Amino acid sequence: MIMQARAISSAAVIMALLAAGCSGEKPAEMRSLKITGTVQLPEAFEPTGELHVEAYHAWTGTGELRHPLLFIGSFTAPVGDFSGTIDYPADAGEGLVVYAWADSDGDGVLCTPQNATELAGLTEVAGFPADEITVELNLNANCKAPNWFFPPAR
Amino acid sequence: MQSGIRILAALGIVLLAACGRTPEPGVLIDGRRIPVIDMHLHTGTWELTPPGFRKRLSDRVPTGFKWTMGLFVDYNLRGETIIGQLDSAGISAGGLFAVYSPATTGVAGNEFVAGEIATVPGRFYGFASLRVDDWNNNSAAELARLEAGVQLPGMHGIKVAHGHQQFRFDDRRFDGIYEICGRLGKPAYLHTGTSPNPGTRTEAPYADPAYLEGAIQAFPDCIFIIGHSGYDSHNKALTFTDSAIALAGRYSNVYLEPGALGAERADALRADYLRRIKAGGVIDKLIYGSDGPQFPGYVKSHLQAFVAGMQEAGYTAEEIEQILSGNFLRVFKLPPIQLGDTK
Repeated sequence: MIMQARAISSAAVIMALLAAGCSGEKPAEMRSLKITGTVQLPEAFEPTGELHVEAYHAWTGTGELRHPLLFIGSFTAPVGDFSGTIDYPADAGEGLVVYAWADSDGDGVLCTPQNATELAGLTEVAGFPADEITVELNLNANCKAPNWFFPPAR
Repeated sequence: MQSGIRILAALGIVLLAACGRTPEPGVLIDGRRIPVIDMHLHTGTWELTPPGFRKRLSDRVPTGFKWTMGLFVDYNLRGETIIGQLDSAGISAGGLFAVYSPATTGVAGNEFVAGEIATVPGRFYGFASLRVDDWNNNSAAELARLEAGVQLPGMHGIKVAHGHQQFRFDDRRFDGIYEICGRLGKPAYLHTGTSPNPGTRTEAPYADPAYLEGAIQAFPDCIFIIGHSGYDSHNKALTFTDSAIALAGRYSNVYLEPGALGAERADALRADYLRRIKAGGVIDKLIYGSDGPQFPGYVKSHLQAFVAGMQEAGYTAEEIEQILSGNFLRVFKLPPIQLGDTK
């Protein structure tokens, strides 16, 4: 009986220690990236509304889980020359891709079934990692997601 | 020492799973038993679960037990374990999905799924899939993978998840998927709405089935099953459900599935969802699925909540039977289920 009680209390202590134990997980180290850029638009396009700028690692993962375009941050700015900063976890992926689209109708969505005229573009950045980058984006494709442009056809 | 604890934990899981009494198959409605097919089930492995999704799953577990997650997931997602869950819920058969979502929910390849199906003959209907993340380079090879996948033993349809696989519904580069669907007569299940899984695209072009209308019109021979009926799980709302119902009402090749709308997370939405289905006149288009197994007991609780919701909403026994199995059997051209023949 005493042995049984000891075994139960020992098991309870072990369970409590496990439930409260350390996981060994450390919070991801964060880095800041300042993105400055210019956009090129077709002549007929009037630069109004917001520009949605999104940053992605070009690639991440290993083996069957390796994939392109890991989203790491975004900001908005008036359509035209832009600048903004994102904070992203270090060591989550490789390379950098900057994508942007112009929200011409102000609805926050890149195109709808009724409006297929909003422009997007993407550029892959050389010289990353860095704390600051400068990009030039040519917004020349209607309603296209990042994976339309990247990875490009080899 | 560590391996001893792992073995004890595995034994505990097995014993817990074996404790339940197997009920009679089907659900009892107005004095008769109605057969049930759960068309939306997932298999997979911890090894091919991406870091973000691993963290989401592990966050449900006390800190000191996180190391058991791999063991639990590998056991919980095996074909035989899933069948145990179906048996304890009285469900006769299930759809089992391949997924290629390396950025979000992971990879369960076509051959892997076919292998799990083979472990429990006659209980699963498989759905094959393909990768889409390097489409500018690999589209031909991936379409070939899909075409071969849907012809593996036990495969009956196609599964894609635009939000998880991060491609827009209106991106017509992917029309080859629907061409295979129509040409080979393998209905396509498409995840719609949002999900709380890390990395999922939640913007309307990845969530609102209205963006699919061009493909639906272009491929009338392909049956589109609009998964989750546009349920915006991320925001716990029926944001895109009216879009889904409108398409099912308008096109003969569009069906709906209510995956996760029987879950506790959707308790506040279920009555409204079922009212909209009835008002939209699309009961003959709704094919039951749960998005299980998730955790032990999920497929059963999802079914119970969904059936209770249909009864509260005044669905007749005939309508409930259409949703729980009749519509699936009709769409997939399968013979009626004889209850008691599931073992």
